[in-house]
Amino acid sequence: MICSFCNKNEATIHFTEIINSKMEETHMCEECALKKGIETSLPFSFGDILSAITKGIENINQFENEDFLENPECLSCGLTIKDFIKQGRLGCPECYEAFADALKDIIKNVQKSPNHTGKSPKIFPRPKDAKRRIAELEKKLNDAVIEERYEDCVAFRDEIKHLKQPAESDQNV
Amino acid sequence: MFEKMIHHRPPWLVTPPSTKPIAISSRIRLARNMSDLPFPGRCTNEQRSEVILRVTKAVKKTALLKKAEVLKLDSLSPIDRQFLVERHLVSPEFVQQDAPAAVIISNDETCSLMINEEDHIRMQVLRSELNLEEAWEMLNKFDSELEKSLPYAFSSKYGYLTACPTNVGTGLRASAMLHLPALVHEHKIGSVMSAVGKIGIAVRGLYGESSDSKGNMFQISNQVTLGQNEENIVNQLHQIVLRIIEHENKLREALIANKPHQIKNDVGRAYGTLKYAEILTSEEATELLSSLLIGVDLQVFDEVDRTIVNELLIDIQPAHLQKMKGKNLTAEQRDLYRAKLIRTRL
Ligand SMILES: [Zn+2]
Ligand SMILES: [Zn+2]
Repeated sequence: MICSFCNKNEATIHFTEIINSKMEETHMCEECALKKGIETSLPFSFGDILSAITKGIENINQFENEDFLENPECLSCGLTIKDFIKQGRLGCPECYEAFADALKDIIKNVQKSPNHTGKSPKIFPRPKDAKRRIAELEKKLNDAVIEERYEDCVAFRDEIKHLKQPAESDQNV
Repeated sequence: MFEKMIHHRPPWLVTPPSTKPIAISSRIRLARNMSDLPFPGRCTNEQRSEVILRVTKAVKKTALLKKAEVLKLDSLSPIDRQFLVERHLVSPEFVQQDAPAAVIISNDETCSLMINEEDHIRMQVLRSELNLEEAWEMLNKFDSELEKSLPYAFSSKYGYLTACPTNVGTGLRASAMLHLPALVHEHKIGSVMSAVGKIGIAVRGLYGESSDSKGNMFQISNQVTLGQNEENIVNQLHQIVLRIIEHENKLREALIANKPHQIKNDVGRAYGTLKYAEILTSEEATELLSSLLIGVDLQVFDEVDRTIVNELLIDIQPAHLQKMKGKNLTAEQRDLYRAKLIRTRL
């Protein structure tokens, strides 16, 4: 198999890349792999992955016209999904909810599992923030129940449970 | 601060003379953000200054960094900035920005914390050799102290929230710097990269500007940050590094058994060039110093002390040379001064 970057050397490194939210095999030679590893902070950076997602869209005009790229945007910081794809970075902590759908796929592909199992702050969150957050979540949970989004229901319920008894859920398993 | 750093070796670089480590150093990094402000990339300058203020205040309450110096990025000259990068204390991306940012460095350089890199906080602990668990313990304790006075962005589902989803969850990146000349010599680095890549571990070259890793130095790090707890991530990387070291050792034994004259020849020639060259680029010098390390490690060459070679690998970098000389040097002047420094130290 020949390296798909230089089309010259024998490919010895094989990895999966996400193109149009589908996993695709990429094959490269040692030389190109090292080169890529040196140029970016990660060997196959998240930016690469995101630009790979957009590769499927044929030209930039079509890309600009895609409504879904402008909408939704994060109400807290104003970031759109298009900004996110261009920069490969989210704008603020709230973005994780604003782009929950898009992130679900991406996280599934770049991470081991979508659920955090590690450390959590001992005093997370402050009581005042917790109350506000619980109210917010209860409203979201309500909507999710009505719209029959069961996966979301579970997530919201878990978070509410966690917020109501932070001392107990603190202990890492 | 810089004056002291130039004349002192960071402890992570110092190894007991008896050991011949393939793992040069270990690092644990954590990414953290404030819950009530945008990530730095979307902060106004006022918000970024606010982050600096909050974090420096919180840091003063910690045992590890309470006496550490706070360096504002805008107070640092281009050479100072590059010096910190060469010293592995800040990232190249961090020093390339113009917006308000700062770095806090412990006196012995073991612990450092960047404010307003890609995330509000990027903190790290650096240790010598393979000491990932020890580094994690230290940084974990420090992080727990910090969180008492900082409202971290955290969700019970995704964990610590970061600007890039590749860091979300634990926000933890563990890495080890390895010297792998035998794997490079036998063209086995590719298969190592490919094998560990499948389980979410990355291998990348260090000290390199072009297509290969000068000096046979590689950084091995975890890519997955979510879905595994910190101890598992650190332990998994530790186990993989041990396997790579074992692989490297076997190849080294085979090399010295099968090609003793070629190895001795390479090492001797490297020493000769380093000892007598008048002009040395940083690439050439790094490569030759790596050859010397092989000689020392394989016990075919005992003219030099390993620590001196380790130190030279850091000191021959452009900003280090200019700091030592106390003035700006052109590339040509640096190559002359670099050769002189190596001649003197060897
Ligand atoms: Zn190639
Ligand atoms: Zn946002």
